[in-house]
Amino acid sequence: MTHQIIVNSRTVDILAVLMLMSTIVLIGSSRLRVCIWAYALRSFVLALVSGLIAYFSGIHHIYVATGVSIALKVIVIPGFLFYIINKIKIKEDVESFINYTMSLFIACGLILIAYYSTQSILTFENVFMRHCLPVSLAITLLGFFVMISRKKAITQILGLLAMEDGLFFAALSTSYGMPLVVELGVFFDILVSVIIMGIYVYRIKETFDTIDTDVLRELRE
Amino acid sequence: MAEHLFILSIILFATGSLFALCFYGWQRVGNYISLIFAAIASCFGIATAVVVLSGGSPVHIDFHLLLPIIKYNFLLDPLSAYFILTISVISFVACIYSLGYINLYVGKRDIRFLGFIYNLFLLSMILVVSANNAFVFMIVWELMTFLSYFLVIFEHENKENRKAGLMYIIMAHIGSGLLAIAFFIMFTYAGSFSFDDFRQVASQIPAVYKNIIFFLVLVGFGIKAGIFPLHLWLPMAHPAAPSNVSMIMSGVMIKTAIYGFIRFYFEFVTPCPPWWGVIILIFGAGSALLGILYALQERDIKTMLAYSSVENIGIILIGIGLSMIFRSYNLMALSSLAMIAGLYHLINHAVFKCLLFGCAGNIYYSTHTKNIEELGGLIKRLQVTAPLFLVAALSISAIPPLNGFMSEWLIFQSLLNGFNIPSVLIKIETIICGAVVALTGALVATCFIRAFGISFLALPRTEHAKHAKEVPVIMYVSMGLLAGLCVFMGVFPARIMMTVNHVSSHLVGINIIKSITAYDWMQTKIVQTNFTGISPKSAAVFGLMLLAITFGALTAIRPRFARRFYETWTCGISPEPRLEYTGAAFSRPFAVIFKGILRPKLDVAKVYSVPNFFVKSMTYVGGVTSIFESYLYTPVSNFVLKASDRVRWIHTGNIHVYLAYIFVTLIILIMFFR
Amino acid sequence: MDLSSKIALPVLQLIVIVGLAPLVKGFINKIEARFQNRRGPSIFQPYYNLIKLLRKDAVVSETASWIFRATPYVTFISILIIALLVPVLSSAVPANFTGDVILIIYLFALGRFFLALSSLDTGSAFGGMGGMREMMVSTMAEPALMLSVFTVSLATGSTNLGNITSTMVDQSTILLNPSLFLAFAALAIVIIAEAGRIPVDNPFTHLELTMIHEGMILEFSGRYLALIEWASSMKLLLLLTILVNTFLPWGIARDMTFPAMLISFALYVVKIGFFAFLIVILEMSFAKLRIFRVPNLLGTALVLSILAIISLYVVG
Repeated sequence: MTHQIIVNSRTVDILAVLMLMSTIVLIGSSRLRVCIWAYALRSFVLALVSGLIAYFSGIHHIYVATGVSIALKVIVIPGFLFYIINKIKIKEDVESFINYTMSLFIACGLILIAYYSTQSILTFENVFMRHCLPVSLAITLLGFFVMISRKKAITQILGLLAMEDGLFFAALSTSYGMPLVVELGVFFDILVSVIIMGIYVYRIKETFDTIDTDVLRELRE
Repeated sequence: MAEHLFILSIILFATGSLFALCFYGWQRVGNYISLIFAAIASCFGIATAVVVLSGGSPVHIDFHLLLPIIKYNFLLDPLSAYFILTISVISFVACIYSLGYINLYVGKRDIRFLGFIYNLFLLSMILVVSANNAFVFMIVWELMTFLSYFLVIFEHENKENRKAGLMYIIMAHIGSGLLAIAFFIMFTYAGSFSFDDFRQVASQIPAVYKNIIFFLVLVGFGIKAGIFPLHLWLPMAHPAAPSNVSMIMSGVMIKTAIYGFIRFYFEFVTPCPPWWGVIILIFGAGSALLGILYALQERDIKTMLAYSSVENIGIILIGIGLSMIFRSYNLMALSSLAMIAGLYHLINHAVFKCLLFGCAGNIYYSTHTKNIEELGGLIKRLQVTAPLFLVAALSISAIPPLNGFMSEWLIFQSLLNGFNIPSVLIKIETIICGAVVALTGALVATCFIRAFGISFLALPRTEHAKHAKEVPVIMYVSMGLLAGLCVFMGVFPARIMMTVNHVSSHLVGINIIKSITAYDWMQTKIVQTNFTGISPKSAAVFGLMLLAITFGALTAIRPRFARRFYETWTCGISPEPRLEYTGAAFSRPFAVIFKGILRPKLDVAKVYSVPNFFVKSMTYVGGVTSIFESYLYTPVSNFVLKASDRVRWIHTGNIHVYLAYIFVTLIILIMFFR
Repeated sequence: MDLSSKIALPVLQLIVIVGLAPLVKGFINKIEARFQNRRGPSIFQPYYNLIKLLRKDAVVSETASWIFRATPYVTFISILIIALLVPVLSSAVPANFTGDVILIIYLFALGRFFLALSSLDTGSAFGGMGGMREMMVSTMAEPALMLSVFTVSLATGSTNLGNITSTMVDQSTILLNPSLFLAFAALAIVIIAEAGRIPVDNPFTHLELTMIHEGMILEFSGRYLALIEWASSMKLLLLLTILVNTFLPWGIARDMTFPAMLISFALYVVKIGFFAFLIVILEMSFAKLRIFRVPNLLGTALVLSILAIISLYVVG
């Protein structure tokens, strides 16, 4: 492979690892605002990656996905989440069912699983952007784990967004994106679900004075 | 030549033991004579080992005594010679140390048996590592266990000691039973009990039986070595024994189990599949981490040192496990490197653990307490023991330029070479293992900073510590020998490596002497691997040069530098021992960090003078739970007791029923063997 | 290398490290003061402090023993030996064949061992607390440090820092490996912990309950304090040097010619200055963590370093 391709794919790999690191920050941090900033950073890097892939491969509809990504996931959604947090005035600690060390080890294990299970694909010689597939799988798994283990509804939404990021990245790096219609549909789905979640969280807080899902479980009869 | 030295040392040990028994009136003299005989015998042991290791070929020694059915075969090959060297060096130092230590017991109890059993114990260990016949091995192994049991319960008035001895002997017997089964399986394939025949049939054993033997040997020798789920007897038995016995038990007896591992896995059941090595690696890493975590929480010095032995056995097993993994993938040079790392750590640990137990014995001799919370300020009272303990603490924490550092370095280099292994899963395991070794290294340093700092530094916390006197010369001279050995082995590692390489080349089949030594800028031999070279000696030389330069510069800046002494500032109160940091305070945060494993308990009891308002006194009891005891041993022992209860109906006490049992058995045997 | 350069290089390297270390501390203090809208002390203030301390007598506690008096020398000398093992101006390490990165890590441990002992030696509770916290932080930092260093060694095929640097300079595409990126992140977190900066330890605090390193050296005075403070500023400089010359080695001299060394020195100063500036920004942006949250941070560093090696092994 030529030197240029190596440099290109290595750059994309480094950005992929940056995304993974911001997802680890999501798991590891104890403040809600830091988690939302980590999400914004990851979306920005993802947009950068899709822009670079569009540039290297010359497929133009990825540029559209890039633009929509930046607009939605870097600006609108984090802004909306910050607005919600300011409005409902909750305690900004991230509360989880599993203690910190254990969740860090589980996260490490999940990333190991992601690397180990994609290892057989990576033994082919002419695969470049080699880190992207394990990283995308890892981000998806970590997002799922965040959804399982956190108490607050807002962090569960962040987990869902992480899963979506991971799947989008996987599609992007292996097959240069899905058909444009599908991608736009997914984007708007995410936007709508976040808005609905925001409204619900606000309503729930007004009615029950808490958004802790552990406490809300008492509602079942 | 070698066999003459060997037989001479056996004779000296045996006769020496008899001397202790003979003198009833002058027990001290009898013991002195037997210990001196044992020391001379150890010298002959060292000589034997040196002769075999410096290029001699393996020597077979066969006796025909007493019953001609039992063939007393002994073999002195490089592996046995290496272990004999370790045992002899440590027993030499221990015997000289004991000359002073038994003063603690003279006049207070009968010490004839101490000398008698002590000599025979040392003899049995030498015979264990040189036995060439399964029968002889089991006989001497059981003998070793029995003799050490009697030594453990030497101070039998104390209930704790009896309990410790009982636990020890039960577990050791379970281990021996499993070993006997393993030997019988080998016997069915080899046709005789001789180890030479075992080596011949190594490749013919079917895989199922090989795996069975693997597990039997793992548990059987693992109990003796103190691997993590099976280690429970170690922290009970080693502190219960007198210090001169603990240093031998912890320094060499648990190493004989490592000898057993190497014999089996490298000679009797080769070739090994990789997963065997992985299991050994995992158990090694687990023992290392758990051993040091529990050591950090202990108040009794000797219990802490016993747990630390568990940790070091873990590290030795990491080396051996890596060697097995490399061997199963045919990476022979790397296998040799890992084996050298493991064996080097073995002799290092023997040296510094013996030194540590010796210093603990010195502390006990002077202050009659083993609890570090009752000590303090000993550096000003025990002025020779303190630097010796410091050298040992530095060695065990793997601080350069002492010997512990070299073996840790070799273990790290072997772990780094794990990238050559084809399987990704095993590579991931070597990396996790590397993280565990790094973590345990740091924890060991913390543990021994705590041990040395709380016992020796600051102000004395009790009257015992305030009036401690230095021990007799002979006790610290022998320990000084070991400390010197620590420094020597750290600064001149290449010579030791050449010896160890001889052993591993015999076992693994490749001599890597050319690739592991080179010459540095001072034209002295250094150690190198495919990653880099290292020379602690030149680091030490640089250090000394820089020290001279610094001192010179500082004196030039202020020639009349003076020190004024004043009491420590403690916010206005006079300094007293209650203001000092305690050992529990030093290690409690680690219990909190690792609370998933250690499960710290806390009991705070308040006594009120006016209920709920004025507290008169508060008691704080903290500790850690031993999860193995509650989750592993207690269910097993409950199960055994319940099962025995069920079977109890056989014992009716009626003699007619017993005769009926014998009668029925006889009839069955007649019918079966007609 | 001929004999004169064999002697010149160690001497030069020692002069640079020993001379530059207080300047780095002074630079950090000055920039931080500027951020806080103060004038701040001069960047040469640490030198003045050291000279003042070297000319004073020492007051030693009556409870302390010879360990207390030996510790400053042990710490200082061990850092100086490390200074000979690290490539500073040239990719050839002066004391080649003496040691590698593992020796460096354990030499740091030697200094720390004696410092912790001397903190217990005086019999004051503050010292014990400082020593205990220092051991806690360094214990948790050690696996992450080892593994991130191992990642670099595995990527370049050697554990000797000189070899690592020269390999990096020769084949710069190694640097684009994402595993090294993860290792860099892990190493950066560990360096902040080892050097005792915010968010792990506050080097400016005078409250004993918040000190880690300052708590351990509370009882030293005069020449002893000078040696220990110098050693700790050299430790920061050496850790930054390892980071800089391993991950950003461009410009380092390959031979001993005068122009090459001059360029290398200038670039070295620039790179160290840049990282010092980053440290200041970090210190300004975060508050010091509670002591029991520090293992969480170091656990994150450990996870990053494990990932670094795994991705190196799996992906290549």
